[in-house]
Amino acid sequence: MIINNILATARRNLTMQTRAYPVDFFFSKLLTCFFTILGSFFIYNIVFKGNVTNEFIQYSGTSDYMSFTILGSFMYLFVVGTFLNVSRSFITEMREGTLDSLLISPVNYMGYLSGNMLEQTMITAGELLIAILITIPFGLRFANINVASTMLSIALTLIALFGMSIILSGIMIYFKDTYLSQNTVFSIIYLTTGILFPIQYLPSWLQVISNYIPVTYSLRTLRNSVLTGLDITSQYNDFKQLAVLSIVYFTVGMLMIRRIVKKAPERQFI
Amino acid sequence: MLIAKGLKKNYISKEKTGFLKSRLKTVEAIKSLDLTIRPGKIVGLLGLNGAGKTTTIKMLSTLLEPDGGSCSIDGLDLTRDAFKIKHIVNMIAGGERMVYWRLTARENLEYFGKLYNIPNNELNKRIDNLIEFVGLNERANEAVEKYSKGMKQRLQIARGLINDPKYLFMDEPTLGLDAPIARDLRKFTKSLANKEGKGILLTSHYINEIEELCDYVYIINQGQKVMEGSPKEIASIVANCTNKYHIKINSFPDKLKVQLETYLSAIQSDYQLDGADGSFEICVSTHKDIQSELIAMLSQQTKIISFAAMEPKLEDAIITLSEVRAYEQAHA
Repeated sequence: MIINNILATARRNLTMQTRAYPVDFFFSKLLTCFFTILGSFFIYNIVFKGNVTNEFIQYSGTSDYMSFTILGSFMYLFVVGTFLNVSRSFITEMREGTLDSLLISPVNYMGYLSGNMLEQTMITAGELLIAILITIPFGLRFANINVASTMLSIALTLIALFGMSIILSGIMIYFKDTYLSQNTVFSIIYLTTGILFPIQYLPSWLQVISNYIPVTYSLRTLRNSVLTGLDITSQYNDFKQLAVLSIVYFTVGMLMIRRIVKKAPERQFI
Repeated sequence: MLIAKGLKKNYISKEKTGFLKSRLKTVEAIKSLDLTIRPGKIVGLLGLNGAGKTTTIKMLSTLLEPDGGSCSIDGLDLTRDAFKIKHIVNMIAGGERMVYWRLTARENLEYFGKLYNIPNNELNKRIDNLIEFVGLNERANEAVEKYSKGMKQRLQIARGLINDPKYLFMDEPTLGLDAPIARDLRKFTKSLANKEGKGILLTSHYINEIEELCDYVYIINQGQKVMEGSPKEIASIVANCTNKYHIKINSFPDKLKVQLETYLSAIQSDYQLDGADGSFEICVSTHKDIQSELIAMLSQQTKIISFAAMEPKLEDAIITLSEVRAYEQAHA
């Protein structure tokens, strides 16, 4: 039953996406990624003359600032893609008038959301491939990559993003808002999780917030796995934190979404 | 059988009382509703706007959770067994929504069929049949956004039947449909009940539709049942005029006028008179069957051109109810 729901929803979304794919949105996401990297490239080469401080190396574990930034931008591309689609799935149904027909059916919430996530992961992975090609000239290097720990980092990241998206989805339905809630979350993630710089540069109170956002650990494990080739055992604590946060966000999200979506048809009335 | 007893539904909304101040306000959408739908029967749910028809349908189709009362559908509890109930009920609402506009008709039905876990072979057969029934064969593979309003509505009907529900709740199903399609849908609705034994709950603003289709009717007002019975029974009780006679005569002498008025006032009845083209039309409203007496009285003094006995209409009942409601509100 759940597999049917996952595949049917992913297929439905993919059909809708390919039929009316927002090409401008695709370019907008890629351009955001490209300009972020370009900005970092200029700052790194023109302002800092291609040098990083010892402090940066100590905090990030690498002297390769461009690869550090590029991986951060890739992660942000995934965050934006997932949040814009999975989080907005239920509220879009509500706005387009299809929520009732969905909820009358014995739809499995987990299956439905997973289907959205599956489709979104496929789309973003495609965008990412293009992004990788664009960013190679900026100095992205995979020479030291540890494939196993990279794969584990990606897998746990997907679960974490899924859990976070479900929570955001609940917030969106409850407040009947997409713009304010999603952009607040984007800003917090962009600022606090180390997309462009190590979180140690942040004030200590902001670092506390970083520690409760799974993306912080996703970025750290991804960079350590890709740039310095650290294996899973060496990153045990970060992986453990990422796994725990993923499970917590996912569990809270599922409990929350069931209650909120159940009440959604009622909230459409008032 | 679907048996609802004392169903209740409240909506809680926020009412602004000032800057950054609000208070919760409870609106009783359904106060206490008893309802029975037998397999093979079509039950009508009538009421003015805001009476609670859509809320009732949404509760019965598991979209809204009742705040009180009980409802069992074929022995399953509406709240406790909601997941199982979803497999045996479905809802069709009027309008163009409830389907995905970027998908084709076939893709829409495939998606909903998958959500019901219908095996592929059976689903494909069912989709073919439904597409044929709603007359979308030629455009089944075209995106819904290119459809007309009526076509979208027809697709919605197909969607409502995709799980072959035992109970079907139809909220203004013919809204926006062309007359031939609406007529076909009425025929099909009748056959769903009569031949396939489905229990159907129907709301409609077209009173004729209710009269034509329904075996039994509930009239609700402000979340409460105010009347139930066959369409004919309701019309008789509410309109309080079991008979209306339209009579055309070629003259209306004073003697006849006095005699008619005396007779009608004795039985607390009334008449209206229209005269044109040298003939007179009398419309008599009465709660008694006085057809033979009227013919005898009139034929003695004038020539009867035509005589028509009209049965009471459900529409009269609804209009009377709305007048009563308006009176009550004005004097509240």
